[in-house]
Amino acid sequence: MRKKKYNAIFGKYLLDSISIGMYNNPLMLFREYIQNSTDSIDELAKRFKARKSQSKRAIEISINGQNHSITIKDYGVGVSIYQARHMLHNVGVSSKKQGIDRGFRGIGRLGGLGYCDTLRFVTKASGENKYSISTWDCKKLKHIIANNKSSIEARNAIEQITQLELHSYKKNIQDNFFIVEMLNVKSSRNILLNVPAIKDYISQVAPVPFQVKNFSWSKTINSRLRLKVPKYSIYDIYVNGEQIYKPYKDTIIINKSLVDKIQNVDFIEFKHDEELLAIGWVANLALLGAISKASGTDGLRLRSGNIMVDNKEILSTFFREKRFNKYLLGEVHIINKLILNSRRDDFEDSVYKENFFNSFAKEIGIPFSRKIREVSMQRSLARTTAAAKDIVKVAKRITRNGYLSQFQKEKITNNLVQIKNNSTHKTQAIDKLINKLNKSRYIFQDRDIEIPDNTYSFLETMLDVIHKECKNQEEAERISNIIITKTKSMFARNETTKGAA
Amino acid sequence: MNKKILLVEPTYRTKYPPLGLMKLSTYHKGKGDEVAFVKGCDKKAGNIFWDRVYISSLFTWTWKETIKTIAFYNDLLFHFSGKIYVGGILASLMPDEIFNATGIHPIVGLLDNPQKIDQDDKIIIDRLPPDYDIVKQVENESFTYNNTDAYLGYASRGCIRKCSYCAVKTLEPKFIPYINVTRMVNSIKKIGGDKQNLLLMDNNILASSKFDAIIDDIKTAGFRKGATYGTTRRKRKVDFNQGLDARLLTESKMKRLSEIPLDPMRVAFDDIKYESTYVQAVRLAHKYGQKNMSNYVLYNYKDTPEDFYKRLKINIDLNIEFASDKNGEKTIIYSFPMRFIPLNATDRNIDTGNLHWNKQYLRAIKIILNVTKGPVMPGAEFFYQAFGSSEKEFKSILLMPDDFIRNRVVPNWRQISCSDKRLMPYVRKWKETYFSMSKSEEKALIRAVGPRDVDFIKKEYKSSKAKKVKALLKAHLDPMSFMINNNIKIIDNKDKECVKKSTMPFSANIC
Repeated sequence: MRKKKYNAIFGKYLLDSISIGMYNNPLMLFREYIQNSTDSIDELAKRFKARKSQSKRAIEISINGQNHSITIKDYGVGVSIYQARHMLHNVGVSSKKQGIDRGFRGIGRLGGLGYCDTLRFVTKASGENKYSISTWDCKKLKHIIANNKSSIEARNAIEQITQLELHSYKKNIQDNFFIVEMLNVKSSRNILLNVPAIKDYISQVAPVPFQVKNFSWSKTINSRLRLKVPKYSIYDIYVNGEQIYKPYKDTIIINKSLVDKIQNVDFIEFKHDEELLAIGWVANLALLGAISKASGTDGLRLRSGNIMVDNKEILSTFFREKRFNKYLLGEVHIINKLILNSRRDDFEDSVYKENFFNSFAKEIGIPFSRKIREVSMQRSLARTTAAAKDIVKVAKRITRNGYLSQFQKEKITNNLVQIKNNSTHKTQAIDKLINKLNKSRYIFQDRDIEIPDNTYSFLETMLDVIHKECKNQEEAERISNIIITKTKSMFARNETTKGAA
Repeated sequence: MNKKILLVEPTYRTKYPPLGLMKLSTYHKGKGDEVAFVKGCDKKAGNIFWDRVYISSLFTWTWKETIKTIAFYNDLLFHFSGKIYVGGILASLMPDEIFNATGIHPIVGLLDNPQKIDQDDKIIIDRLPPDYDIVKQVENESFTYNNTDAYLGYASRGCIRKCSYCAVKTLEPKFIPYINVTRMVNSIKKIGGDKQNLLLMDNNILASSKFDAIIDDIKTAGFRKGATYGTTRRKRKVDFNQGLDARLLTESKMKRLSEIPLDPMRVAFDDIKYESTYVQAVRLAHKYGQKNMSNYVLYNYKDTPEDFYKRLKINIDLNIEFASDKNGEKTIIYSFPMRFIPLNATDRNIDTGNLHWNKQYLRAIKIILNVTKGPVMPGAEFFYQAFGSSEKEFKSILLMPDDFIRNRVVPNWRQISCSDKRLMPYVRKWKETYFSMSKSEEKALIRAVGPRDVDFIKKEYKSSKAKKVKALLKAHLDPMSFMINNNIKIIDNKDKECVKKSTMPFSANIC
């Protein structure tokens, strides 16, 4: 049978799906552009190996609140004027290589299409006296897509909204750069112009360095990861002139009153059949609680090419309870074999993916879940023991001095019975104490002081009220004691006066 | 590298240790793996990373518990594919249903093919000796398996018949007439020590063309008639616990069977139409000195309550016959009633579509059998007391309220010779009313109480005009008043309690 020639149509909605539809958080476009820049910087470094010092590892991001614009600039290899149309106006075509470069699908640069009116790529390759400007009219694209009457093809839509210009370059011919410009940026709740949020995002997601002065394990981690992870590299990323660092610190804040310190850093390898799939560093902590979210360091995070995969929750699934991941601090770096999906929130399904997650559960998820539960049990045990000791102390005090109120006596007796029921040893001693407690006297009962009957019953009622209403029994006791001392001194003085008389 | 293996048996009630898991344990221990065995959903199992989890399954009506267990371990292993293996009877009978409920496609049938659990070797796990050690890991004060003192195994596999009520045709579709018992016994002995008894789960041993060789093997393995076990000198027993096919029991085969310490011998009496075949087989067993027989009596399949009673009575009559045989062995037959449950029932309380039976009858039989926890007592006196002296009386018992069935006789019934006077007054009253009913009245009563639905009985009670029907339905709605009205004079509630206490349960009397 003769096959009929058929040209498949790629409709306009395709552009929608691979730009705005790809990512669920607008900030992810920073990740996409930073990733392109890092590949470009690496490419330059490779080409000019001999003159390595020349390559600048900087990526400069400026957010302009007044103009509502964003620019992301790198000094990587740039795009030659001969390749500009091919590389910038084609979609799903990339000269990058899977397994070497971070991106390879040729769609990442379209991430900005949905969030601005105009998207521009300005780029120059070294040795050329011209530079290219590729302009994408995002407003027009939106219009085309929204127009139900038009069933234009994706290819024609790109032709209609793009424009490529060449300009002569007056400065140093050796210059090379790539600039992404987003003009008239629009995003829900203005997130794309929220500088602190952007800094925070980049510090956690992008391949930025550790801040050595805050994090003394930087050197150890860097040298080990450089040795083991082929794509482990670090770039100097600036947002409005400020360099961004990973947020790791030596001191870990768990909550207002609980602080932990990193004692050591363990390196854990994730293997399948002796093949190294990933390596991670995990801070040695006391596992006292979930690390504060505000620190930006809670949980083990997964990184590929030193860029975070998905969000910080991706590894949480492999703990017995998801929240346990938040007790840990560290990073897991994918070595190779695992291929990221185009959304960068997971890997393409493969035996390596399965084995990696398996290995993670085995090495980290399950053993740490167990440790966290053990620590928690020990702490609660320690808390109950401490509480029990306090109760015994009060009980002994009552047997010595008398009880302050009937309510207090009953409460302490009940607590002692509870302690007895929960403990396996010393039950006889507790029984003895309960007996003694039952026989104990009211604090004024010995009547070494003479209190009028109405004052006596008034005091009794008041002390009872204090013990009943005070949430803090220690405080109740303290106040009661002051009242008692004062009463005693008051009536004792009267007595001495009487005696003297 | 050593793997960590978890074997799981869902927490359903079972007498027999899980043979499949025990064989898997032998297999994995042989490979140097670490093996643990747990019962049900064990949270502590979450502290370890398991390379493989095997979950066994039993009857289809344990569906809910089994699915819960599979889901629990699937969660525990973070849904990693290819790590959970589900097998066993339920798994083999309802693989698609399990797949739909859990996403795991179970292993169907025997572990007779290394590909079934992705083995990297060619070992046939089904033929491995079971590992008895693992059983101790789950036994405790409140739970123990029976039959752990027996060699558990098979001398054949499958069955030549394809009975519609039986699952063997699906579980073991191929009839394998011979498996070397001596070898099996010796290999178990080697790893697990000597056992007193031999429990063979053959589905139809009499159909085997190698029957003689099998009996020889059993004898060689140390199970001749009169053989004793170790220093205790206890008598050894051989049990074909799936029963023997009466249609295939020839004199020569019975003769061979009499060479081994068969105890009990089990012959199924599933259908009244096989009466003559069955009776012939039992008489043959008697002739060759078989002492104990425990015979399965299927009910609620295609039979009627009347023919079920008839089959039980045949066994009682045979017991009387054998007891009076002065020269021969006094063979005793225990009837073992077995309710038919469809092969895909996910719940025990399922309507099988047999119109001769209803919920009330089935429940009533359960109450009667609760006394002995299963088998029917072989003595005639007990039998007639429990099941009635005629088919009609049997039916009258089945229709009684539960409390009446439980508390039918007066405390000192054994000293009373007249069987009617043994009954509590209210039971007598019930019987009297029932026996005086017309056919249509009886039908109305059966229709009303059959579904065991209080609201339905209430409705029928209101709409019925027949006095006798009304009286008996009232007994179902308010048994206590019926008891009191037909018992002794009652003064106050305190006495009601006395009535309750004085009517000792039937179980207490008979035990």
